[in-house]
Amino acid sequence: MNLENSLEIKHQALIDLQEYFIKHLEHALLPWWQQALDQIQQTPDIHKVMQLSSQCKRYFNDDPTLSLYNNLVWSPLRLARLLLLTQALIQQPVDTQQTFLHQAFAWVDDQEKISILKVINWLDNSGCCLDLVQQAGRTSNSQLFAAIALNNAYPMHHYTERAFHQLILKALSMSLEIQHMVGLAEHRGPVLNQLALELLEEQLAADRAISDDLIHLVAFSLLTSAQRKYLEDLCLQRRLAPIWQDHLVKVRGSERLIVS
Amino acid sequence: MPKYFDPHIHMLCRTTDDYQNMAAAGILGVIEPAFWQGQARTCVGSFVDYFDTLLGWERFRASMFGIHHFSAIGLNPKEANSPSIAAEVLDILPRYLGRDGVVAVGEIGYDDITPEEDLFLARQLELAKQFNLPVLIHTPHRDKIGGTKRTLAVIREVGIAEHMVIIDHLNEVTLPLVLESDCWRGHSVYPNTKMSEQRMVALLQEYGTEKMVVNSAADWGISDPLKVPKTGQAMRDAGFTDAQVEQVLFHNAVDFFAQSGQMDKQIVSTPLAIDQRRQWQNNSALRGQEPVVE
Repeated sequence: MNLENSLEIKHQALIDLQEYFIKHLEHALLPWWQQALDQIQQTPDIHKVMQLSSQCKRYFNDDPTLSLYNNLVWSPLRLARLLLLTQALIQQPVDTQQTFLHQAFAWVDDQEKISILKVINWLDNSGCCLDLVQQAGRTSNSQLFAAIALNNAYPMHHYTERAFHQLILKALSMSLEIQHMVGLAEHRGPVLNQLALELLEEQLAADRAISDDLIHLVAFSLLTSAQRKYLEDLCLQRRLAPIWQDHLVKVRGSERLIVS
Repeated sequence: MPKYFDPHIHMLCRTTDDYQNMAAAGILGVIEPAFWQGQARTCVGSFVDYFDTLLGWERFRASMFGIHHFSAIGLNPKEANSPSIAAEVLDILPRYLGRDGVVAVGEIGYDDITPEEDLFLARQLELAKQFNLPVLIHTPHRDKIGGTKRTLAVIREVGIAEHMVIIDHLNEVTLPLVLESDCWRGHSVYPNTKMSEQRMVALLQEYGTEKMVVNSAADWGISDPLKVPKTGQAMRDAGFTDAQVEQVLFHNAVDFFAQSGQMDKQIVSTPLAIDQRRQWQNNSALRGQEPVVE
Protein backbone atom coordinates (compact mmCIF):
# COMPACT_ATOMS: atom_id res chain seq x y z
CA MET A 1 0.00 0.00 0.00
CA ASN A 2 1.42 3.37 -0.98
CA LEU A 3 0.68 5.68 1.92
CA GLU A 4 2.82 8.49 0.56
CA ASN A 5 -0.11 9.83 -1.44
CA SER A 6 -2.88 9.06 1.03
CA LEU A 7 -5.37 11.75 1.90
CA GLU A 8 -5.44 11.35 5.69
CA ILE A 9 -9.17 11.91 5.98
CA LYS A 10 -10.45 13.39 9.23
CA HIS A 11 -13.05 10.71 9.79
CA GLN A 12 -14.49 12.13 12.99
CA ALA A 13 -15.34 15.44 11.29
CA LEU A 14 -17.25 13.55 8.60
CA ILE A 15 -19.06 11.44 11.17
CA ASP A 16 -20.07 14.62 13.01
CA LEU A 17 -21.29 16.10 9.73
CA GLN A 18 -23.34 12.99 8.97
CA GLU A 19 -24.89 13.00 12.45
CA TYR A 20 -25.72 16.67 12.16
CA PHE A 21 -27.39 16.03 8.80
CA ILE A 22 -29.48 13.11 10.10
CA LYS A 23 -30.49 15.11 13.17
CA HIS A 24 -31.98 17.78 10.92
CA LEU A 25 -33.44 15.39 8.38
CA GLU A 26 -37.23 15.16 8.01
CA HIS A 27 -38.34 11.84 9.48
CA ALA A 28 -40.04 10.78 6.23
CA LEU A 29 -36.76 11.09 4.33
CA LEU A 30 -34.77 8.80 6.62
CA PRO A 31 -35.66 5.55 4.78
CA TRP A 32 -34.54 6.96 1.44
CA TRP A 33 -31.34 8.27 2.96
CA GLN A 34 -30.57 4.97 4.65
CA GLN A 35 -31.11 2.94 1.48
CA ALA A 36 -28.91 5.40 -0.44
CA LEU A 37 -26.11 4.87 2.07
CA ASP A 38 -26.63 1.11 1.84
CA GLN A 39 -26.28 1.28 -1.94
CA ILE A 40 -23.05 3.24 -1.61
CA GLN A 41 -21.77 0.71 0.88
CA GLN A 42 -22.46 -2.12 -1.54
CA THR A 43 -21.14 -0.32 -4.62
CA PRO A 44 -18.87 2.55 -3.59
CA ASP A 45 -17.99 3.70 -7.10
CA ILE A 46 -18.32 7.04 -8.83
CA HIS A 47 -21.19 5.90 -11.07
CA LYS A 48 -23.30 4.97 -8.07
CA VAL A 49 -22.50 8.31 -6.41
CA MET A 50 -23.54 10.23 -9.53
CA GLN A 51 -26.74 8.22 -9.87
CA LEU A 52 -27.82 8.79 -6.26
CA SER A 53 -26.62 12.36 -6.26
CA SER A 54 -28.88 13.14 -9.21
CA GLN A 55 -31.85 11.76 -7.25
CA CYS A 56 -31.15 13.93 -4.21
CA LYS A 57 -32.86 16.91 -5.83
CA ARG A 58 -36.18 15.04 -5.64
CA TYR A 59 -35.90 14.65 -1.90
CA PHE A 60 -33.96 17.60 -0.48
CA ASN A 61 -34.40 21.34 -0.83
CA ASP A 62 -31.61 23.77 -1.71
CA ASP A 63 -32.40 26.39 0.94
CA PRO A 64 -29.31 27.29 2.97
CA THR A 65 -30.86 26.40 6.32
CA LEU A 66 -28.18 24.27 7.95
CA SER A 67 -25.56 26.19 9.86
CA LEU A 68 -22.60 24.33 11.26
CA TYR A 69 -20.09 24.93 14.00
CA ASN A 70 -17.38 25.72 11.47
CA ASN A 71 -19.31 28.78 10.31
CA LEU A 72 -20.37 27.18 7.02
CA VAL A 73 -23.92 27.29 5.77
CA TRP A 74 -25.36 24.35 3.86
CA SER A 75 -28.57 23.40 2.14
CA PRO A 76 -29.88 19.88 2.81
CA LEU A 77 -29.40 19.08 -0.89
CA ARG A 78 -25.75 20.08 -0.99
CA LEU A 79 -24.92 18.40 2.27
CA ALA A 80 -26.65 15.18 1.16
CA ARG A 81 -24.66 15.09 -2.07
CA LEU A 82 -21.41 15.76 -0.26
CA LEU A 83 -22.09 13.04 2.29
CA LEU A 84 -22.85 10.46 -0.39
CA LEU A 85 -19.59 11.30 -2.09
CA THR A 86 -17.54 11.23 1.10
CA GLN A 87 -19.17 7.93 2.08
CA ALA A 88 -17.91 6.41 -1.18
CA LEU A 89 -14.54 8.07 -0.70
CA ILE A 90 -13.88 6.61 2.73
CA GLN A 91 -14.76 3.13 1.46
CA GLN A 92 -12.04 3.25 -1.17
CA PRO A 93 -8.74 1.53 -0.39
CA VAL A 94 -6.45 4.17 1.12
CA ASP A 95 -4.07 4.14 -1.83
CA THR A 96 -6.83 4.92 -4.36
CA GLN A 97 -8.68 7.58 -2.40
CA GLN A 98 -6.75 10.39 -4.02
CA THR A 99 -7.54 9.10 -7.52
CA PHE A 100 -11.20 8.73 -6.57
CA LEU A 101 -11.37 12.31 -5.28
CA HIS A 102 -9.77 13.65 -8.47
CA GLN A 103 -12.21 11.69 -10.60
CA ALA A 104 -15.20 12.81 -8.57
CA PHE A 105 -14.05 16.42 -8.76
CA ALA A 106 -13.81 16.21 -12.53
CA TRP A 107 -17.32 14.76 -12.84
CA VAL A 108 -19.35 16.96 -10.50
CA ASP A 109 -20.82 20.41 -11.21
CA ASP A 110 -19.63 23.68 -9.69
CA GLN A 111 -22.04 23.51 -6.73
CA GLU A 112 -20.69 20.10 -5.76
CA LYS A 113 -17.14 21.29 -6.27
CA ILE A 114 -17.87 24.12 -3.85
CA SER A 115 -19.11 21.58 -1.28
CA ILE A 116 -15.99 19.46 -1.64
CA LEU A 117 -13.69 22.46 -1.39
CA LYS A 118 -15.41 23.73 1.74
CA VAL A 119 -14.37 20.54 3.55
CA ILE A 120 -11.17 19.78 1.64
CA ASN A 121 -9.17 20.30 4.81
CA TRP A 122 -11.01 17.32 6.32
CA LEU A 123 -10.71 15.19 3.21
CA ASP A 124 -7.05 15.86 2.49
CA ASN A 125 -5.23 16.58 5.71
CA SER A 126 -1.95 15.53 4.07
CA GLY A 127 -2.15 18.12 1.27
CA CYS A 128 -1.68 15.63 -1.54
CA CYS A 129 -4.56 17.22 -3.48
CA LEU A 130 -2.90 20.63 -3.42
CA ASP A 131 -2.64 20.69 -7.20
CA LEU A 132 -6.35 19.96 -7.60
CA VAL A 133 -7.26 22.76 -5.18
CA GLN A 134 -4.95 25.27 -6.85
CA GLN A 135 -6.33 24.40 -10.28
CA ALA A 136 -9.85 24.85 -8.94
CA GLY A 137 -8.78 28.25 -7.61
CA ARG A 138 -8.03 29.45 -11.14
CA THR A 139 -11.76 29.85 -11.67
CA SER A 140 -13.56 33.13 -12.28
CA ASN A 141 -16.54 31.79 -10.31
CA SER A 142 -16.31 33.85 -7.13
CA GLN A 143 -18.41 31.38 -5.09
CA LEU A 144 -16.13 28.53 -6.02
CA PHE A 145 -13.05 30.63 -5.31
CA ALA A 146 -14.54 31.76 -1.99
CA ALA A 147 -14.94 28.12 -0.96
CA ILE A 148 -11.16 27.83 -1.04
CA ALA A 149 -10.19 31.28 0.14
CA LEU A 150 -12.63 31.95 2.99
CA ASN A 151 -13.20 30.02 6.22
CA ASN A 152 -10.90 27.29 4.93
CA ALA A 153 -7.68 26.25 6.66
CA TYR A 154 -6.40 24.25 3.68
CA PRO A 155 -4.49 27.12 1.98
CA MET A 156 -2.88 28.12 5.27
CA HIS A 157 -1.62 24.57 5.81
CA HIS A 158 -0.53 23.69 2.29
CA TYR A 159 -0.02 26.76 0.05
CA THR A 160 3.42 28.25 -0.42
CA GLU A 161 3.89 31.79 0.80
CA ARG A 162 3.78 33.03 -2.79
CA ALA A 163 0.59 31.09 -3.63
CA PHE A 164 -1.08 32.34 -0.45
CA HIS A 165 -0.28 35.93 -1.40
CA GLN A 166 -1.84 35.36 -4.84
CA LEU A 167 -4.89 33.90 -3.10
CA ILE A 168 -5.22 37.05 -1.00
CA LEU A 169 -4.85 39.36 -4.01
CA LYS A 170 -7.41 37.42 -6.03
CA ALA A 171 -9.86 37.40 -3.11
CA LEU A 172 -9.41 41.15 -2.87
CA SER A 173 -9.97 41.60 -6.60
CA MET A 174 -13.18 39.56 -6.30
CA SER A 175 -14.32 41.83 -3.45
CA LEU A 176 -14.50 38.92 -1.01
CA GLU A 177 -14.35 39.63 2.71
CA ILE A 178 -10.72 38.77 3.23
CA GLN A 179 -10.99 39.03 7.01
CA HIS A 180 -12.51 35.53 6.73
CA MET A 181 -9.32 34.10 5.25
CA VAL A 182 -7.81 31.61 7.68
CA GLY A 183 -4.13 32.44 8.13
CA LEU A 184 -4.25 36.00 6.83
CA ALA A 185 -2.73 37.39 10.03
CA GLU A 186 0.16 34.92 9.88
CA HIS A 187 0.96 35.93 6.30
CA ARG A 188 1.15 39.66 6.92
CA GLY A 189 4.70 40.90 6.57
CA PRO A 190 7.16 42.81 4.39
CA VAL A 191 6.28 40.95 1.16
CA LEU A 192 2.53 41.43 1.55
CA ASN A 193 3.13 45.05 2.54
CA GLN A 194 4.99 45.58 -0.72
CA LEU A 195 2.23 43.91 -2.78
CA ALA A 196 -0.47 45.89 -0.99
CA LEU A 197 1.29 49.20 -1.52
CA GLU A 198 1.89 48.45 -5.20
CA LEU A 199 -1.80 47.71 -5.61
CA LEU A 200 -2.62 50.91 -3.78
CA GLU A 201 -0.31 52.83 -6.12
CA GLU A 202 -2.01 51.25 -9.14
CA GLN A 203 -5.50 52.10 -7.92
CA LEU A 204 -4.52 55.68 -7.13
CA ALA A 205 -2.81 56.13 -10.51
CA ALA A 206 -5.95 54.88 -12.24
CA ASP A 207 -8.07 57.22 -10.11
CA ARG A 208 -10.01 54.24 -8.79
CA ALA A 209 -11.56 53.80 -5.36
CA ILE A 210 -9.15 52.10 -2.98
CA SER A 211 -10.38 48.59 -2.09
CA ASP A 212 -11.92 48.81 1.38
CA ASP A 213 -10.24 45.62 2.52
CA LEU A 214 -6.76 46.54 1.25
CA ILE A 215 -5.89 47.86 4.69
CA HIS A 216 -6.29 44.34 6.15
CA LEU A 217 -3.24 43.21 4.16
CA VAL A 218 -0.88 45.68 5.76
CA ALA A 219 1.31 44.96 8.79
CA PHE A 220 1.77 48.58 9.80
CA SER A 221 4.50 47.84 12.33
CA LEU A 222 6.60 46.21 9.60
CA LEU A 223 6.40 49.03 7.05
CA THR A 224 9.74 50.49 6.01
CA SER A 225 10.25 54.14 6.80
CA ALA A 226 9.88 54.97 3.09
CA GLN A 227 6.59 53.06 2.91
CA ARG A 228 5.35 54.75 6.03
CA LYS A 229 6.29 58.17 4.65
CA TYR A 230 4.46 57.32 1.40
CA LEU A 231 1.28 56.45 3.29
CA GLU A 232 1.57 59.47 5.59
CA ASP A 233 1.88 61.75 2.56
CA LEU A 234 -1.20 60.17 1.00
CA CYS A 235 -3.09 60.70 4.27
CA LEU A 236 -2.02 64.36 4.31
CA GLN A 237 -3.29 64.70 0.74
CA ARG A 238 -6.57 63.11 1.94
CA ARG A 239 -6.27 60.38 -0.65
CA LEU A 240 -6.76 57.61 1.90
CA ALA A 241 -9.62 56.95 4.31
CA PRO A 242 -9.01 58.19 7.90
CA ILE A 243 -8.64 54.61 9.12
CA TRP A 244 -5.20 54.47 7.43
CA GLN A 245 -4.11 57.48 9.45
CA ASP A 246 -5.45 55.83 12.62
CA HIS A 247 -3.29 52.77 12.02
CA LEU A 248 -0.19 54.86 11.31
CA VAL A 249 -0.73 56.89 14.48
CA LYS A 250 -1.24 53.75 16.54
CA VAL A 251 2.05 52.25 15.31
CA ARG A 252 3.91 55.48 16.00
CA GLY A 253 2.41 55.54 19.51
CA SER A 254 3.45 52.00 20.33
CA GLU A 255 6.98 52.68 19.05
CA ARG A 256 7.26 55.69 21.38
CA LEU A 257 6.16 53.49 24.26
CA ILE A 258 8.85 50.94 23.47
CA VAL A 259 11.56 53.66 23.28
CA SER A 260 10.49 55.28 26.57
CA MET B 1 -12.49 58.85 -41.03
CA PRO B 2 -9.09 57.62 -39.79
CA LYS B 3 -8.11 54.00 -40.32
CA TYR B 4 -8.27 51.79 -37.24
CA PHE B 5 -6.87 48.37 -36.37
CA ASP B 6 -7.70 46.41 -33.20
CA PRO B 7 -4.64 44.27 -32.43
CA HIS B 8 -6.15 42.33 -29.51
CA ILE B 9 -9.76 41.19 -29.61
CA HIS B 10 -11.41 37.79 -29.08
CA MET B 11 -13.93 37.82 -31.93
CA LEU B 12 -14.93 34.18 -31.51
CA CYS B 13 -16.83 35.42 -28.44
CA ARG B 14 -18.56 38.24 -30.30
CA THR B 15 -21.58 38.53 -32.56
CA THR B 16 -21.91 39.42 -36.24
CA ASP B 17 -23.40 42.78 -35.10
CA ASP B 18 -20.01 43.55 -33.58
CA TYR B 19 -18.26 42.89 -36.90
CA GLN B 20 -20.74 45.17 -38.69
CA ASN B 21 -20.37 47.97 -36.13
CA MET B 22 -16.58 47.69 -36.15
CA ALA B 23 -16.42 47.90 -39.93
CA ALA B 24 -18.78 50.89 -39.88
CA ALA B 25 -16.52 52.60 -37.30
CA GLY B 26 -13.47 52.26 -39.56
CA ILE B 27 -11.78 49.16 -38.14
CA LEU B 28 -10.04 47.51 -41.06
CA GLY B 29 -8.47 44.56 -39.33
CA VAL B 30 -8.11 42.64 -36.10
CA ILE B 31 -5.72 40.29 -34.36
CA GLU B 32 -7.28 37.52 -32.32
CA PRO B 33 -4.91 36.04 -29.74
CA ALA B 34 -5.62 32.57 -28.40
CA PHE B 35 -6.86 32.81 -24.83
CA TRP B 36 -8.58 31.11 -21.92
CA GLN B 37 -12.13 29.94 -22.58
CA GLY B 38 -13.50 30.90 -19.17
CA GLN B 39 -13.01 27.45 -17.71
CA ALA B 40 -10.27 24.88 -17.77
CA ARG B 41 -9.66 22.84 -20.91
CA THR B 42 -9.22 19.16 -20.18
CA CYS B 43 -7.23 17.84 -23.13
CA VAL B 44 -4.99 18.93 -25.97
CA GLY B 45 -7.76 18.21 -28.50
CA SER B 46 -9.64 21.19 -27.14
CA PHE B 47 -6.71 23.41 -28.16
CA VAL B 48 -6.47 21.81 -31.62
CA ASP B 49 -10.12 22.58 -32.36
CA TYR B 50 -9.82 26.08 -30.93
CA PHE B 51 -6.72 27.00 -32.95
CA ASP B 52 -8.24 25.51 -36.11
CA THR B 53 -11.41 27.53 -35.55
CA LEU B 54 -9.45 30.77 -35.14
CA LEU B 55 -7.58 30.17 -38.40
CA GLY B 56 -10.57 28.78 -40.25
CA TRP B 57 -14.15 29.65 -39.41
CA GLU B 58 -13.45 32.89 -37.52
CA ARG B 59 -11.18 34.27 -40.22
CA PHE B 60 -13.89 33.47 -42.75
CA ARG B 61 -16.58 35.08 -40.57
CA ALA B 62 -14.57 38.31 -40.31
CA SER B 63 -14.14 38.38 -44.08
CA MET B 64 -17.94 38.26 -44.49
CA PHE B 65 -18.01 41.75 -42.97
CA GLY B 66 -14.98 43.18 -44.73
CA ILE B 67 -12.52 42.83 -41.83
CA HIS B 68 -8.99 41.42 -42.16
CA HIS B 69 -8.50 38.77 -39.47
CA PHE B 70 -5.17 37.53 -38.11
CA SER B 71 -4.32 35.37 -35.12
CA ALA B 72 -1.71 35.03 -32.42
CA ILE B 73 -1.37 31.42 -31.33
CA GLY B 74 -0.07 30.30 -27.97
CA LEU B 75 -0.70 28.76 -24.60
CA ASN B 76 -2.50 31.14 -22.27
CA PRO B 77 -0.75 31.91 -18.94
CA LYS B 78 -3.45 30.30 -16.78
CA GLU B 79 -3.28 27.14 -18.87
CA ALA B 80 0.44 26.77 -18.27
CA ASN B 81 -0.51 25.55 -14.80
CA SER B 82 -1.74 22.21 -16.13
CA PRO B 83 1.76 20.94 -16.95
CA SER B 84 0.81 17.68 -18.71
CA ILE B 85 -1.66 19.35 -21.08
CA ALA B 86 0.59 22.39 -21.46
CA ALA B 87 3.49 20.22 -22.65
CA GLU B 88 1.25 18.62 -25.29
CA VAL B 89 0.06 22.04 -26.45
CA LEU B 90 3.65 23.15 -26.91
CA ASP B 91 4.23 20.11 -29.09
CA ILE B 92 1.41 21.13 -31.46
CA LEU B 93 2.26 24.84 -31.62
CA PRO B 94 4.84 24.47 -34.43
CA ARG B 95 2.15 23.18 -36.79
CA TYR B 96 0.24 26.45 -36.33
CA LEU B 97 2.99 29.06 -36.12
CA GLY B 98 3.79 28.86 -39.82
CA ARG B 99 0.19 28.97 -41.00
CA ASP B 100 -1.36 31.77 -43.04
CA GLY B 101 -2.74 34.52 -40.88
CA VAL B 102 -0.65 33.70 -37.81
CA VAL B 103 1.22 36.90 -37.02
CA ALA B 104 2.50 36.23 -33.50
CA VAL B 105 2.91 33.89 -30.59
CA GLY B 106 0.36 34.91 -27.98
CA GLU B 107 -1.12 35.74 -25.72
CA ILE B 108 1.41 34.30 -23.33
CA GLY B 109 2.80 35.56 -20.04
CA TYR B 110 1.92 35.42 -16.37
CA ASP B 111 -1.25 34.93 -14.35
CA ASP B 112 -0.30 33.67 -10.87
CA ILE B 113 3.43 34.00 -11.65
CA THR B 114 4.09 30.33 -10.85
CA PRO B 115 7.21 28.31 -11.78
CA GLU B 116 5.11 26.51 -14.44
CA GLU B 117 4.14 29.86 -16.01
CA ASP B 118 7.82 30.82 -15.96
CA LEU B 119 8.76 27.65 -17.82
CA PHE B 120 6.09 27.86 -20.53
CA LEU B 121 6.63 31.57 -21.08
CA ALA B 122 10.33 30.96 -21.69
CA ARG B 123 9.66 27.97 -23.97
CA GLN B 124 7.18 29.94 -26.07
CA LEU B 125 9.59 32.86 -26.36
CA GLU B 126 12.12 30.33 -27.69
CA LEU B 127 9.54 29.13 -30.22
CA ALA B 128 8.91 32.71 -31.33
CA LYS B 129 12.65 33.12 -31.87
CA GLN B 130 12.76 29.94 -33.97
CA PHE B 131 9.82 31.04 -36.13
CA ASN B 132 10.98 34.67 -36.20
CA LEU B 133 7.55 35.77 -35.03
CA PRO B 134 6.52 38.70 -32.86
CA VAL B 135 5.20 37.93 -29.37
CA LEU B 136 2.15 39.28 -27.59
CA ILE B 137 2.62 39.19 -23.81
CA HIS B 138 -0.23 39.49 -21.31
CA THR B 139 0.62 41.12 -17.97
CA PRO B 140 -1.13 39.77 -14.89
CA HIS B 141 -4.06 41.33 -13.05
CA ARG B 142 -2.51 40.66 -9.65
CA ASP B 143 0.99 41.72 -8.64
CA LYS B 144 1.10 43.59 -11.93
CA ILE B 145 4.30 45.45 -11.20
CA GLY B 146 6.12 42.29 -10.08
CA GLY B 147 4.74 40.40 -13.09
CA THR B 148 5.85 43.06 -15.55
CA LYS B 149 9.36 43.16 -14.08
CA ARG B 150 9.57 39.38 -14.25
CA THR B 151 8.34 39.43 -17.87
CA LEU B 152 11.11 41.83 -18.86
CA ALA B 153 13.65 39.68 -17.06
CA VAL B 154 12.55 36.51 -18.91
CA ILE B 155 12.65 38.31 -22.27
CA ARG B 156 16.29 39.19 -21.54
CA GLU B 157 17.11 35.71 -20.25
CA VAL B 158 15.78 34.09 -23.42
CA GLY B 159 17.44 36.70 -25.59
CA ILE B 160 14.58 37.44 -27.96
CA ALA B 161 14.92 40.83 -29.65
CA GLU B 162 12.87 43.31 -27.64
CA HIS B 163 11.50 45.00 -30.75
CA MET B 164 9.74 41.69 -31.53
CA VAL B 165 7.78 41.83 -28.26
CA ILE B 166 4.69 43.77 -27.28
CA ILE B 167 3.82 43.86 -23.59
CA ASP B 168 0.10 44.31 -23.13
CA HIS B 169 -2.47 45.58 -20.62
CA LEU B 170 -0.08 48.27 -19.39
CA ASN B 171 -1.16 51.04 -17.05
CA GLU B 172 0.25 54.12 -15.36
CA VAL B 173 2.62 52.16 -13.13
CA THR B 174 3.78 49.43 -15.54
CA LEU B 175 4.23 51.50 -18.71
CA PRO B 176 7.31 53.32 -17.30
CA LEU B 177 8.95 49.93 -16.66
CA VAL B 178 8.45 48.88 -20.30
CA LEU B 179 9.60 52.28 -21.58
CA GLU B 180 13.07 51.38 -20.34
CA SER B 181 13.13 48.54 -22.89
CA ASP B 182 12.78 48.36 -26.66
CA CYS B 183 9.51 46.41 -26.36
CA TRP B 184 6.30 47.78 -27.83
CA ARG B 185 3.66 49.03 -25.42
CA GLY B 186 0.12 47.63 -25.48
CA HIS B 187 -2.89 49.10 -23.68
CA SER B 188 -6.34 47.57 -23.37
CA VAL B 189 -9.13 50.09 -23.13
CA TYR B 190 -11.98 48.57 -21.15
CA PRO B 191 -15.35 49.82 -19.90
CA ASN B 192 -14.39 49.66 -16.20
CA THR B 193 -11.10 47.94 -15.48
CA LYS B 194 -7.68 48.04 -17.14
CA MET B 195 -7.65 51.47 -18.90
CA SER B 196 -10.12 54.17 -19.96
CA GLU B 197 -9.97 56.34 -23.09
CA GLN B 198 -9.19 59.41 -20.99
CA ARG B 199 -6.39 57.71 -19.07
CA MET B 200 -5.00 56.45 -22.38
CA VAL B 201 -4.97 59.97 -23.76
CA ALA B 202 -3.14 61.16 -20.64
CA LEU B 203 -0.47 58.49 -21.15
CA LEU B 204 -0.03 59.52 -24.80
CA GLN B 205 0.29 63.16 -23.73
CA GLU B 206 2.91 62.28 -21.14
CA TYR B 207 4.95 59.66 -23.01
CA GLY B 208 4.31 60.35 -26.71
CA THR B 209 3.13 58.02 -29.46
CA GLU B 210 6.21 55.97 -30.29
CA LYS B 211 5.55 52.20 -30.13
CA MET B 212 2.28 52.90 -28.30
CA VAL B 213 -0.50 50.49 -29.23
CA VAL B 214 -4.14 50.42 -28.15
CA ASN B 215 -6.63 47.55 -28.27
CA SER B 216 -10.06 46.67 -26.90
CA ALA B 217 -9.21 43.15 -25.65
CA ALA B 218 -12.96 42.58 -26.00
CA ASP B 219 -14.05 39.05 -25.14
CA TRP B 220 -17.05 37.24 -23.64
CA GLY B 221 -16.99 39.53 -20.61
CA ILE B 222 -18.39 43.05 -20.34
CA SER B 223 -16.17 44.77 -22.88
CA ASP B 224 -16.51 47.00 -25.94
CA PRO B 225 -15.24 46.13 -29.43
CA LEU B 226 -15.42 49.80 -30.41
CA LYS B 227 -12.89 51.02 -27.82
CA VAL B 228 -10.21 51.65 -30.45
CA PRO B 229 -12.29 54.17 -32.45
CA LYS B 230 -13.63 55.60 -29.17
CA THR B 231 -10.04 56.21 -28.06
CA GLY B 232 -9.49 57.89 -31.44
CA GLN B 233 -12.33 60.27 -30.67
CA ALA B 234 -10.91 60.96 -27.19
CA MET B 235 -7.51 61.70 -28.76
CA ARG B 236 -9.04 64.14 -31.23
CA ASP B 237 -11.02 65.81 -28.43
CA ALA B 238 -7.72 66.28 -26.59
CA GLY B 239 -6.11 67.96 -29.58
CA PHE B 240 -4.25 65.11 -31.29
CA THR B 241 -4.21 65.37 -35.09
CA ASP B 242 -5.80 62.73 -37.34
CA ALA B 243 -2.29 61.67 -38.37
CA GLN B 244 -1.34 61.06 -34.72
CA VAL B 245 -4.58 59.17 -34.13
CA GLU B 246 -3.88 56.94 -37.12
CA GLN B 247 -0.26 56.46 -36.04
CA VAL B 248 -1.27 55.06 -32.66
CA LEU B 249 -4.49 53.30 -33.61
CA PHE B 250 -3.48 51.81 -36.96
CA HIS B 251 0.15 52.15 -38.08
CA ASN B 252 1.88 51.20 -34.82
CA ALA B 253 -0.06 47.97 -34.42
CA VAL B 254 0.29 46.99 -38.08
CA ASP B 255 4.00 47.87 -38.15
CA PHE B 256 4.63 45.70 -35.10
CA PHE B 257 2.76 42.61 -36.34
CA ALA B 258 3.95 43.05 -39.96
CA GLN B 259 7.36 41.99 -38.61
CA SER B 260 5.89 38.46 -38.92
CA GLY B 261 6.02 38.69 -42.71
CA GLN B 262 2.40 37.50 -42.63
CA MET B 263 0.75 40.90 -42.91
CA ASP B 264 1.02 43.29 -45.86
CA LYS B 265 0.40 46.83 -44.69
CA GLN B 266 -0.84 47.96 -48.07
CA ILE B 267 -3.46 45.21 -48.18
CA VAL B 268 -4.56 45.79 -44.60
CA SER B 269 -4.95 49.51 -45.31
CA THR B 270 -7.87 48.76 -47.63
CA PRO B 271 -11.17 47.24 -46.50
CA LEU B 272 -11.52 43.64 -47.52
CA ALA B 273 -13.96 43.27 -50.42
CA ILE B 274 -17.09 41.52 -49.17
CA ASP B 275 -18.52 38.51 -50.96
CA GLN B 276 -21.11 36.85 -48.77
CA ARG B 277 -21.84 34.19 -51.36
CA ARG B 278 -18.72 32.37 -50.20
CA GLN B 279 -18.95 29.56 -47.69
CA TRP B 280 -16.65 27.86 -45.18
CA GLN B 281 -17.00 24.07 -45.15
CA ASN B 282 -20.50 24.54 -46.59
CA ASN B 283 -21.38 26.92 -43.79
CA SER B 284 -22.33 30.60 -43.99
CA ALA B 285 -22.84 33.38 -41.46
CA LEU B 286 -26.01 34.36 -43.30
CA ARG B 287 -29.38 33.20 -42.06
CA GLY B 288 -31.60 33.72 -45.08
CA GLN B 289 -30.36 37.24 -45.88
CA GLU B 290 -29.50 38.39 -49.40
CA PRO B 291 -25.70 38.02 -49.72
CA VAL B 292 -23.79 41.31 -49.94
CA VAL B 293 -21.29 41.36 -52.80
CA GLU B 294 -18.97 44.31 -53.34
